[in-house]
Amino acid sequence: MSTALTAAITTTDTGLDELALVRLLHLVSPALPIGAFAWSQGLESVIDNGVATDADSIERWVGGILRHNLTHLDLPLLLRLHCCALHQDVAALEYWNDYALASRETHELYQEDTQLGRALWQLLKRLEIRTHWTGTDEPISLLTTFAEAAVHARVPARATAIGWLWSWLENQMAVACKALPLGQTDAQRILQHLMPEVPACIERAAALNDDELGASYPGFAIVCSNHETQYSRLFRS
Amino acid sequence: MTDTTLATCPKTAPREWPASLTLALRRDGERTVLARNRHQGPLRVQRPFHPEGPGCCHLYLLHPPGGLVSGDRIDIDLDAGHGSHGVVTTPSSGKVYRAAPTGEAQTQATRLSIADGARLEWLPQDTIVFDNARGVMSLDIDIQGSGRFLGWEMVCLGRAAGQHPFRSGSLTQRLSIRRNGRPWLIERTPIHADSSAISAPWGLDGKPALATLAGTLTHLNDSEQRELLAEVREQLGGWSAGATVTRDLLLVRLLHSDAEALRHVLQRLWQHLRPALMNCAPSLPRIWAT
Repeated sequence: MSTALTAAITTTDTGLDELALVRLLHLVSPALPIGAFAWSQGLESVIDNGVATDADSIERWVGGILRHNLTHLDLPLLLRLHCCALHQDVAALEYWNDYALASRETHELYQEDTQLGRALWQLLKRLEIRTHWTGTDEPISLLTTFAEAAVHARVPARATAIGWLWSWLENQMAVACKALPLGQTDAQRILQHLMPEVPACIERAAALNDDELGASYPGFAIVCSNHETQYSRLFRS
Repeated sequence: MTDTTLATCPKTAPREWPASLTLALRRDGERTVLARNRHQGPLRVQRPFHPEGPGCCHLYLLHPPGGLVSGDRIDIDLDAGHGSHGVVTTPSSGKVYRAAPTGEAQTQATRLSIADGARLEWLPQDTIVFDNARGVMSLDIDIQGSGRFLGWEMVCLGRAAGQHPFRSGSLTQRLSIRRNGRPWLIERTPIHADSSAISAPWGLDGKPALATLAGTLTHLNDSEQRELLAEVREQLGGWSAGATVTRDLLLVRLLHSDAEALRHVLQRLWQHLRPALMNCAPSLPRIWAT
């Protein structure tokens, strides 16, 4: 391997070393046993109500949530939580955890975040990975546990955010493949379209001030609320 | 530019008129009294009403200029003390006028503090956001212990059912509810006229009128909450509204093509919820009828 190439691999913006990369891949794998596959974050609802009917409309929905909701809320929160875990600032970790939980618009979105957060936290405990979270019985956001796991794995903040987005995107495609059903190749094409947007989303998220956090819109909250009474459901949100 | 566009900025609008209002409701025997009523600028409460009996105090927030121009800032602080019960509303729609080309944002910041054992109903009429406005509106609600809240925020982008649509400008809305000092609900909704959020189904779905209704359900058990939620859903029907109960909070989000219709949906819903949430009979503030 040329020295130039080696340098390119080891000094990317994300500053990720090889062991950290392996651990990040472990963390974002759909095979991670926390049950993320059971939740759709409103996507099943828009498939049911006829808003998302084909590859184009799925891409518009998922792309919109990515650019707005995730870029202005989940990503900047994840970056903050990562920083708190890295500097072992437990009070700030709890503050942003509270913030994340208060930002979940509906019952199911709150359930999703806290059940996945709890499941990952328990997995970390079973793997004897130490976390800074002390509130044993307190509800914990998946963002908080994910940040803790990433810091333990020595994954830097931006790489953590990229991993988070990727696992979310992949999960949304899995939902679309089951619920629409969307063809596998169409799903891959949507991923291919949205992947180049990921760095810009991280960039935007990293630039937000605390008072610029959040992008909750009535359309998304209405869709997610109505999933609670959807007649036939494969997913829990 | 047509005359109608120019007309959206009233020629008589005053320049930069900061206004603030500090109110406190207190329980005095059987009566809820307005124990503090301080104002700066044109925003005020003339006098409290007790149309439902002494225990419940109705307040009308009056703002004769009717709206905000560039650089304006309205601050409202209301403190509901232990055992008090307040109903707050406005006589007409608030307005966020077109901003001056180099103008600063138009800001309205409301802080409601609800003590343990207090009840507060926050029912302002809608805020009409004119084309080219730069509105920043926040509602911060701080609830202690068994304090109860029922209220809404209602906004209409543009005017008169499509005659003066919201083509440029922005509105940032923020709703924050805290319980015993910790975040309970945080909603921040940034709306730019040129954003895809305006038309996207995850955003405003092409509808100019939007609202969030929130009510505390800490005094109800799980099955009572479920029953209430089912009733709310039955009232709402259709796809342009969604109701949920999360962490003892009832949250209803609504989108509508018509602000007037949205207001009626909210008023009906409020009447329906009042007995269960506030322990009192449905009633309509008289000022809504005028």
